[in-house]
Amino acid sequence: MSSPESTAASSIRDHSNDIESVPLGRVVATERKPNTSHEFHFWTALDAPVGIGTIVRVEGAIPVGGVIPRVYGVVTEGFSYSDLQTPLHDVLGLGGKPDARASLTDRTEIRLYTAQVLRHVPEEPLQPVPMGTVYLADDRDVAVALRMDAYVGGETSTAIPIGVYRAGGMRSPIYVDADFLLGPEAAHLNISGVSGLATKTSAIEWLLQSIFAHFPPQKGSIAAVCFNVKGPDLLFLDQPGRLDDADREMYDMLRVPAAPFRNVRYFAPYTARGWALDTLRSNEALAHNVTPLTWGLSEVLQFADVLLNKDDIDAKADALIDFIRERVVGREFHDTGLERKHFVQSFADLDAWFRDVLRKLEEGQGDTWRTHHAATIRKVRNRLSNLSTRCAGLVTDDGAVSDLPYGSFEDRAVYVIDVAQGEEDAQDLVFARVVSKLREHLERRELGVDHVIVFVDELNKYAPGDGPDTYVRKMLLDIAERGRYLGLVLFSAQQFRSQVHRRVVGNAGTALFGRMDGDELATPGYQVLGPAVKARLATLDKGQLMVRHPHFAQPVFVRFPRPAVMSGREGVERFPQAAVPTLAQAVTRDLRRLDDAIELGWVQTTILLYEDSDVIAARSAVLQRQPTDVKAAFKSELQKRSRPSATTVERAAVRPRALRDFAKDEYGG
Amino acid sequence: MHHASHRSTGADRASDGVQDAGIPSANSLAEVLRAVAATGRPVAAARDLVDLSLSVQTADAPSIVPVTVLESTPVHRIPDTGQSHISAFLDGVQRTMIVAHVRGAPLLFAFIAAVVRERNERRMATWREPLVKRAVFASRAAVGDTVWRELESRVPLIDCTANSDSAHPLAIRARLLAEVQRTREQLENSLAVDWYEQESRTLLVDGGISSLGALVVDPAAPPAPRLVGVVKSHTTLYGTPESLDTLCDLDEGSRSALFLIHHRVRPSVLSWYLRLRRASSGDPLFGLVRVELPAPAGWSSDQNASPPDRDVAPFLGAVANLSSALLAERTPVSLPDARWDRLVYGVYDCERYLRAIADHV
Repeated sequence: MSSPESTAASSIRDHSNDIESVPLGRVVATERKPNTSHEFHFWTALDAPVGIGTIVRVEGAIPVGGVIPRVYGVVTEGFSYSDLQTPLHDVLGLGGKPDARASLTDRTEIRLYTAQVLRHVPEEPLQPVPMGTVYLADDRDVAVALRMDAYVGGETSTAIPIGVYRAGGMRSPIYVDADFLLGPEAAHLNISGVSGLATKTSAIEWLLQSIFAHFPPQKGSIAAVCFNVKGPDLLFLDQPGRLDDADREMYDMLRVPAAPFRNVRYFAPYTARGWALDTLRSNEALAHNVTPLTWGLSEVLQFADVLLNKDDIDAKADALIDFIRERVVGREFHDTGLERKHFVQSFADLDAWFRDVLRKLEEGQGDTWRTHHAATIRKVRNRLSNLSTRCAGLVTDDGAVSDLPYGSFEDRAVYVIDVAQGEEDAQDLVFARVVSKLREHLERRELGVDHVIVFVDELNKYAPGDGPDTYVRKMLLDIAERGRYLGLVLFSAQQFRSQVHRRVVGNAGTALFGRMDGDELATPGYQVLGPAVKARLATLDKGQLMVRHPHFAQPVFVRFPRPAVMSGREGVERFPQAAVPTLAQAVTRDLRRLDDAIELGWVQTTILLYEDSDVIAARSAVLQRQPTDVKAAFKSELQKRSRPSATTVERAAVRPRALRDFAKDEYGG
Repeated sequence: MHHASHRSTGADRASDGVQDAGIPSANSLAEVLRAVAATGRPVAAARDLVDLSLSVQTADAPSIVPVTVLESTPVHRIPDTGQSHISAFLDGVQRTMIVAHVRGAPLLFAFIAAVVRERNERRMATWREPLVKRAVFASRAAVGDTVWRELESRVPLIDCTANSDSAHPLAIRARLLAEVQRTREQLENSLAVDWYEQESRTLLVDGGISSLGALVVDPAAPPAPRLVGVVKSHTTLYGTPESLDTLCDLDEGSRSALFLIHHRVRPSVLSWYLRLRRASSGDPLFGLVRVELPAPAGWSSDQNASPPDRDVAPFLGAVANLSSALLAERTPVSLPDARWDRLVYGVYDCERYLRAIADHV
């Protein structure tokens, strides 16, 4: 990893000595269209390399306070017109025939541009932009214009490359300030853009690579947690992508290694059946760093609010849930009239507890138990029991837990949580719990890293501007407003920024814009942008972004390289999804992580007479315990949970399986 | 008639800038106003600084001048080829305003400029540098030697005193304006001479070319003219009363017979009328221009020589080409200029260019 002080500073080259600056245009102002301290106009030759987004430097002619004023601006509007006073004159000139022979002379034309001021040097007195000569900004001009000189270079450089600004054959690296991207000064990043161009995901992937390469050592360690909420977008971050020469050139220029992430871990819940991971990254060749994500009762109950809306939970129900959470779950519970002592650790245990309580109520005289009405108890039982069904695969009945490695997060690691295949409820639950846990650990400084970037796509779904005030939205607001003090940074993306809660996007210190939809650009949030900038936004190519950053007085357009990771589309082609495994195949695959000697035949034989749910529970228990003797532990777990019934034995005996030796890889590996 | 004491020629003009070194020049009107005010004399208020070139019109009476017709066929149809070998256009401009009066005599500030605009890959660009002059024109006899010397040390002065000078302020003003006009022609001619000496391409001059002196006497026979004048005003019509009918009926894209125009002091020129556009209203002068070409040496002296003695055949090809070129130069149209029916775009471009730099007087 390269250090910022040796990189960013040297990337800003001063062309003033090796390139003779050639004037590009001249500042003009009229009484009707005067220059101000924040806006000016200039004309150029017809072939001048100027366009919307070009950064220019104005050299004044008259010293102010003994200093020649220098103004930097970015072009936000362009005009072109000829000496034709009315189109009718052209009609007249061609005799009303558009196909008439063209004139020998082209009419005199003008290219007139409007630019917004980025910076005055000196800053005081702040005067209208002087009539002066306009030059194309070189690297150093760009750095000064965007105030990057304050944080690029030096031992305490906090520069993070975000892309390359290009104009007139010149290319300048653009940096954002880590203090304003990742805290503590400002934080968070939001990216908007139409779907289908992969710009949003690519930009985030590229930026994470850049952050990992340039995150200042003095700021500590950093990791990223990415929620993959759709398709295979983030599922191949550890695989090399296709780059062309232009991409590699940008990587070199920005001093970011053109390589995939070195440390990526994937987490995915099981499918509803419970034995295969519910992810598109199911190819055996990639299974080594895919871990199940499963939670039990106590993990879920803490976030019951996420899944239970206000219609479900009134004050009475809330009180009962609190009672269960504090007095029942995870501890021994006994009450007069109950059949037995309860030790509730799973949804199955909880259901048994409910059954016992309700039985007692039915057998007794009153309608209440410990001030909780029978109807409330039934309602809460119904809702809580339903959770494991609604989030099947993620929430286990038997209490098995497989989670992110809170406390041992690694520096520059990416943790991808694939919930793309899951139900909406499950996605909400995953998001709420993971972010809460991250926050808890960061507050205690026990996460393992000092900063965590949380990437959430489809923000308009999780934090909509209107609609109900959900738990997830409140949580996102909390991160946006307070996360930077903890090192919890939100990178969010959505198609329509206007549909996201204002406080969430408003708190994002850095905003990126890819190609935008025309309707979206017509919303009030984009009124500050001129028509030309909007038009450019509506036609941006892949790999182009408009960047807003606290140090930049105006947005700047940059290009960024393709991320050096495999795209989701290519990934699913190169690594096709494995066929849905049988229970035996899935168990074999899981147990093999602990013991290479586990064979499919052995597993098939072992689980033959057991219920699927018991096999799954035994598998989960073994994975959690990680015993030395896996085979023995698995058998033990199976026997502990269930003994085969006579019916099962009989069924197996009547229709014996064609037992034979199985090849090691027969389960499809 | 006594002319200005300072003259400019192509030979003595500095070639390294927009200023003509032959005649003293000020930097700006403001500088002149400050200099005059420094002498203690009242200067014109800003609202009184009106361009006299716009308000004083020449009062020449319309006339018909007989000429020597060189062709027997009165009307020639010009093929519209859409091609033009004209490479550049020359025009001049003047801005004049009275900045003060001394003993009733006006001090006339003049901005005078001329430019050649050439066509490079369909776009107009300035050839070399424009000639620009800013000076105060005055009558030394009228303002007196004492005042003259006082002013002379502060501003560039051009004396326009004439021998039989009227002391009437309007007469003096008319003479100053005439001198400004003459100086403008001088600048235009200077540029034309430069072009003629340095370029082998064809230059279109706005107006007549007879004032170019010896230059317009083309020694070549048959000629390959590199200077062509286009006259847009027709206060003086050349021909006979009988030939006017033909002229008025000239169709769009047709030209008159070639004729020779004699001048008493200037060289004669070959000329013909060309109808660029035809007005639906029937205005006989709408779209009508008169084209001038340098006449061969020796044609100027004998006004009464008959056409056979002056063989025009070698010229007819050039006349046809130029006529065709001028038809091609009709577009782009020079609207919104009031003379758009006769004003080719290249000259319009010169005027606009000069107007732009005149804004900085």
